[in-house]
Amino acid sequence: MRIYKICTLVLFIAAWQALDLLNSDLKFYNALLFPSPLDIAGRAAELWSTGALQNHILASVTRVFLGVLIAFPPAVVLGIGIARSRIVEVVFEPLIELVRPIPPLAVLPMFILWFGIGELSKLMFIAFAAFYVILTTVMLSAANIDVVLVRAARTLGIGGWRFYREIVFPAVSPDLFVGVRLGLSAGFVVIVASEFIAADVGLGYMINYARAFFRVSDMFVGALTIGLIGYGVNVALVAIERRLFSWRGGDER
Amino acid sequence: MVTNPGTHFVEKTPKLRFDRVDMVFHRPNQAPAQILRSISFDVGEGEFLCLLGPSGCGKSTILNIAAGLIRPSAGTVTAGSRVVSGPGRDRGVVFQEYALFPWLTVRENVVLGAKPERGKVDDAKVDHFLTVTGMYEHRNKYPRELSGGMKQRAAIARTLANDPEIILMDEPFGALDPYTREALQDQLIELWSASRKTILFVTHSVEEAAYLAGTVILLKAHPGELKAVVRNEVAWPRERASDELIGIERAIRSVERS
Repeated sequence: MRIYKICTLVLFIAAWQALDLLNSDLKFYNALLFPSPLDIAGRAAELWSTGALQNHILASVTRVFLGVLIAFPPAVVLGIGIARSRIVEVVFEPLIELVRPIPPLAVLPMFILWFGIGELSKLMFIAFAAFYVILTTVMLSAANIDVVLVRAARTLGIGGWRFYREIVFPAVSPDLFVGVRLGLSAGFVVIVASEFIAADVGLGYMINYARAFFRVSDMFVGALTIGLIGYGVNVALVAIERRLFSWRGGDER
Repeated sequence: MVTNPGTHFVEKTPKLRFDRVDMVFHRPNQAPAQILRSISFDVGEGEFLCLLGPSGCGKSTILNIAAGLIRPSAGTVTAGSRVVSGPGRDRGVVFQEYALFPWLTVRENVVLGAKPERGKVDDAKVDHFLTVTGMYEHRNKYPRELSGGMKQRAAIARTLANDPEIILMDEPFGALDPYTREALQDQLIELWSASRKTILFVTHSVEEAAYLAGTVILLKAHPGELKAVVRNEVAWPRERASDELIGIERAIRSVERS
């Protein structure tokens, strides 16, 4: 199955290259606006050899991870709290649900005014986007803890903080990991927007900068790099998840 | 070793007492549903009592009320000398669904049961209950690696390690195949005769009730009401399908039909 999927992908890229070859004779579109895979790969190699691409990658990835790191603690505490405590639900849920539909981009200008034009506003912006994804995952997970397990814990005399520490937290931990994974994805989705505005490094900056100089290949390199990183991080986290939470999953017998 | 509890454990103050317990569920836009009506019975100390009845008779509801997991609409439940107002360590529950914590190994599950309010876990006690339930060699396995019978053994070990005075069992062997069920029944009787815990056991199997119980309480459905009490004085060790036990089964069935 997997080999076929790789084949179809290679076929698409080959077709794209063939299209470019055809176009070099017939000129039915402007090649400057739509470079070929080889053009893009060549440009990527150039940017890599100067070290510029690595710098942009490092900057963007660091921002995304730090942003998710900021979002994680409040999202987990509030997610579990809203799902399992009526008081926390009443106090926080209305506000959180009211703010939820606001697209992160809508708050970016505010964040720049509040947190300045430097790193902090970008981190808070990513944190804002990741917060809701993690919160929702944790909330659903904590609300859906098997009621029999909750009852078993109560009859064993496990209550108070011990209940949260020894039952709720381990029960939601696999989904917590899913939350982080989705949070990182959300971070990679919004990172570019924050780097369009007042950044001097990062893949978003690189794309925006290339636009000013009409370097379409650079734009492709930037966009594809974000795609590849997002994909790679996801695959790596899924692998760790499987290993860490092997107790999960169906009966073996 | 095994003696007849029915004759030896007649107590003045019962270990568990249901006194005119009603349970009514109120549903929106529907007539309230009466699940239990005026349920009264006593379970003496060291007694093995079975609640037997068809589905819908509210036998699991009775057990959950005894566990303190749900509150009755009326009436009182007393465990020992205290009125039941919530779950407590004096009453351990064994669930049909095993309810093992899947992120913990068998041993860790039992440790969780053995954990005192304060202080350290008694490792010897944990190993003891793993051994008596036959789970010692499987102690480092996760629940998903276990068969249904082994899961229930581990769950019983966990409940015993919590050292309750009363063990409430909600169709614990209902999901097991007949061979495993019989093996676990025998093991339960061994554990019970060694520990002399008070057991309230819910089942819908006449054979199971006749084999295990000293007292069988028959319930009828819609609403759940007490129908009859059958004493089972057959001495231990009991023999399955013996004439005496078949006599008890016959007595139960004749009440059920009436």
